[in-house]
Amino acid sequence: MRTLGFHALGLTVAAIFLVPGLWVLAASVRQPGLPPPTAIEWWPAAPAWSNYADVFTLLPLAGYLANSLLVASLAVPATVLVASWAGFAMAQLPPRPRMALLALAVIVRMVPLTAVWLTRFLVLRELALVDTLGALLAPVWMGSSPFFVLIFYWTFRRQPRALVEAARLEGLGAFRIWARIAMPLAKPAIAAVSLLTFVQYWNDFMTPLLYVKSDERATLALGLRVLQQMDVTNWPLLLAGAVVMMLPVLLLLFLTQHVFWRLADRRVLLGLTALVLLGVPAPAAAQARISFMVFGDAAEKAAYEKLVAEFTRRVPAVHVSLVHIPGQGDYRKRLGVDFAAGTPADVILLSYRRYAAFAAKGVLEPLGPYLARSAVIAERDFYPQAVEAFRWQGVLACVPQNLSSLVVYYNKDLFARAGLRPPAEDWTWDDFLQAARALTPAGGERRAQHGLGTEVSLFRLAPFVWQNGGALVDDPRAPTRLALDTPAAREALQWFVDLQRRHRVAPDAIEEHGESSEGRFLNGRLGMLLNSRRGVPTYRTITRFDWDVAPLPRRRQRAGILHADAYCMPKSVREKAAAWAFIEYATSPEGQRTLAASGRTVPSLRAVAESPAFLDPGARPRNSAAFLREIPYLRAVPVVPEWVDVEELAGEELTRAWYGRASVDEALATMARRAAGFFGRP
Amino acid sequence: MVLLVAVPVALSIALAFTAYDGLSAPVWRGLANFREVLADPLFRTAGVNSLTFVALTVPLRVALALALALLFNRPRRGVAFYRVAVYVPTVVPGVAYALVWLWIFNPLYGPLNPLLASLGLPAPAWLVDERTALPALALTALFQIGEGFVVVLAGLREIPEDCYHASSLDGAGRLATLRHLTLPLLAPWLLLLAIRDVIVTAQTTFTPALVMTGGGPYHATLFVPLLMYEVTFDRLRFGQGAAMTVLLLAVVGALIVLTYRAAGGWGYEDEV
Repeated sequence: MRTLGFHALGLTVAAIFLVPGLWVLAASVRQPGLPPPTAIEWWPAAPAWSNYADVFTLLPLAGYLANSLLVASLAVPATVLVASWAGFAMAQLPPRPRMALLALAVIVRMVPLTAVWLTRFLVLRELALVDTLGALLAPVWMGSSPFFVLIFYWTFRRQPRALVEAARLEGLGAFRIWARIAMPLAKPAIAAVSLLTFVQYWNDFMTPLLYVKSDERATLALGLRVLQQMDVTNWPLLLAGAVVMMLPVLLLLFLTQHVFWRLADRRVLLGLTALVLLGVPAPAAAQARISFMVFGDAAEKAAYEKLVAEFTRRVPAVHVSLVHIPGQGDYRKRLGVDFAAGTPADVILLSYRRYAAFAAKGVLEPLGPYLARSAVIAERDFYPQAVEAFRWQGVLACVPQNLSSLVVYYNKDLFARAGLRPPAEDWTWDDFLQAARALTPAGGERRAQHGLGTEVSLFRLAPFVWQNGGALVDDPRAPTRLALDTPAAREALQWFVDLQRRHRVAPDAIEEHGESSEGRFLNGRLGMLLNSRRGVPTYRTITRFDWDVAPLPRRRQRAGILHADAYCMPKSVREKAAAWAFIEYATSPEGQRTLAASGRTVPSLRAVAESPAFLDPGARPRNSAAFLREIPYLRAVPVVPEWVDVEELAGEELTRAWYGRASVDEALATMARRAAGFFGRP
Repeated sequence: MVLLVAVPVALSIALAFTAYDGLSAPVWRGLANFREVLADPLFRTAGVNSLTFVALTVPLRVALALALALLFNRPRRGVAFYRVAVYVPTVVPGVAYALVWLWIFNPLYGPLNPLLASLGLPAPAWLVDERTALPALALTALFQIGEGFVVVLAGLREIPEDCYHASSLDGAGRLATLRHLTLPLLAPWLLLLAIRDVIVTAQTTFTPALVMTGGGPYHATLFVPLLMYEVTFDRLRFGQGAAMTVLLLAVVGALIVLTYRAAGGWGYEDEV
């Protein structure tokens, strides 16, 4: 009876801990793009095992896997060795120094990694360990964690003192006592520390996030974050990635109990530690090597890989390694750290909304003089709107690659099904709203289809404010405060928010969190999506329906919003000639044609933008000319260092208003108050 | 240890009194950073969130680890399987774990709300709702207790069998044995575990907050490490970030002393 009760309890506990894993497995083989399930799906009717193949083609997962395993399996024996030795030494010390060491260990353990993140980076840089597996393994030198030292300390303290004393009397040295007497008695502690260490290194996300740059040395934790940022709510694929990451370690876990005992063998420990010592790879240098850092999703990354390949074919003397960060937020932090540590990539792609912070600090090499000397490209070949956005205090800071604008992507099939004609060139806000309503079928609380999807941000709202005759800030050249509280701007904001709050043509908070607007568009369940040209490489993968772009609807005056990115070169770059050669190629007609063919950019060179390379009638969107027709009406957001932060906080407040958690006026008031902390700050 | 912790910490403390953007030389500001940080409503929100999280998770995590370790301590059939089951969520890498929970909580695609609905329970919006987002994150932390579980198991094994023999000869019941024998002998391990949990929480909130909520909705899951990360690396205000670090260290230190005092009643200090 007691046994039965025990097993009932045990099985319940096991179920609570394991069933979510089975759910995950089932969900990872669900067909991507299906509408949400109505009940728990224990197993999909038609499992799509191809999801796993897709994850491996999307990312170099095999390499990540090997790196993770290598790091974790080197760290375990090294940690057991270092931590047990330290613990043993502490146990032998007289009380006073022991107390001091204990206190020190506790204090050291108190320091969260976030606190030493940057400063540790500086130390690692001095040791030339950045971007090596040595950086990931560095903590083994302190036993990985003082906690492990303490575990061994407690254990050794509990062993009968008489044993150690007797051994000492027999003339055994400290090392032999540790190896022959203390360690064999401490097997439970060794097992515990081994498990904990393995998990620590396997799990480690923050260290590789910062100390590893190249794809070849990235670990799985980093890979999954990349996957998430590539496709926020594509659950089957994301969960397949998660399963790939979990499986090896789960298998290992089932084997651990036997394996870890054997690892406690002294010779194995020493051998593996020697490997760690020797395993720090040394960088080789033959050609000029430069790195090129970009942001964007998988399809965009592929476009830049092509650009790099083309360049390498023409200039074999320069080796370019592509550093790809999917999310703009992570991109910004990564740049901040890289600059602070003095190791930014040699060529970086930056939006005009973001480069000012770096230009103001004087860490960017002004490229105007380089461009003036170029025999391949000249400033007058570029659209002036793109060039002006990157002119910092009279000098061109970076060379623009594109100038896009905000357009309406629409699902032609859904338009036809709703009996709508394609948007006219001069459609109005009202036409836009009518279309959105027609595309949102009435339904219960959760609607399967929506008329409109948009990111909720100041950057998306801005063109509507301008069209209504409003302004974002008091003075675009030297802003001192937000100007969204003027009647014209406020009216535009109210109209924008009403799209979701009153007309409910856009997903609400729960729906958007459940599946992103972009995901809904890709799956054919969203009529219109606001985005710049960036989305095109991804949307070209759509096969289930036809789509096109339309200009923004109009109001009092015509206005669009400038989207532009440029190639920038940090001042600290050593191989300046090689970096410039790459920038020159990337912004030359040939380079721009390569990138334009991928669909990613509206070329910044007028000649390329107005050529079939961009206007190719055989490629979607058919209406690419809409981007060019917007150019004369483009306006830019203020180019000042604090703008990124102002946009970020404004976005938070707008989101509240959009989902009805604050009124428009509350949002405006909070926004103004919070923005005051940023404007005009050094 | 010196290179990886001591030097960086000393640098951080020094930077806390300066304006430093990582690009040009630091400029002395005295206590201005601390004044600004303490006056910043976002820092206060993050501080309250972090403390709430610690208060919600640490006692529950230690209690759960202890309960499960006691349950699965004695070797008997099936115990190995149960132990591995308990440990499974812990070995899941942080990012994968956060991603899986993000899906479980997903109001449209996730399995949790259908499960609750089938039991006739209300289905909250979890991470979308400012009121439930932080408890949801705390819930995810309760499943990753494998480390504590293993530590307590190891602690239980260190207790010599003789003690139990003596105890049963004295006629002590199971509860009495637990209270008067097992718990006191485990006390240092539990104390260590609690202290470790307090400290670790100072950084383990980072990954779930970054991956699952980004600190939202509207700062409901903004924790101090995430704010430090943003202030330091987004805005390049290393001085302010360092000031937050110093404050964080002070609070964590105070919490540890509190934990130690609270646990000291039934621990035996002479061991330390």
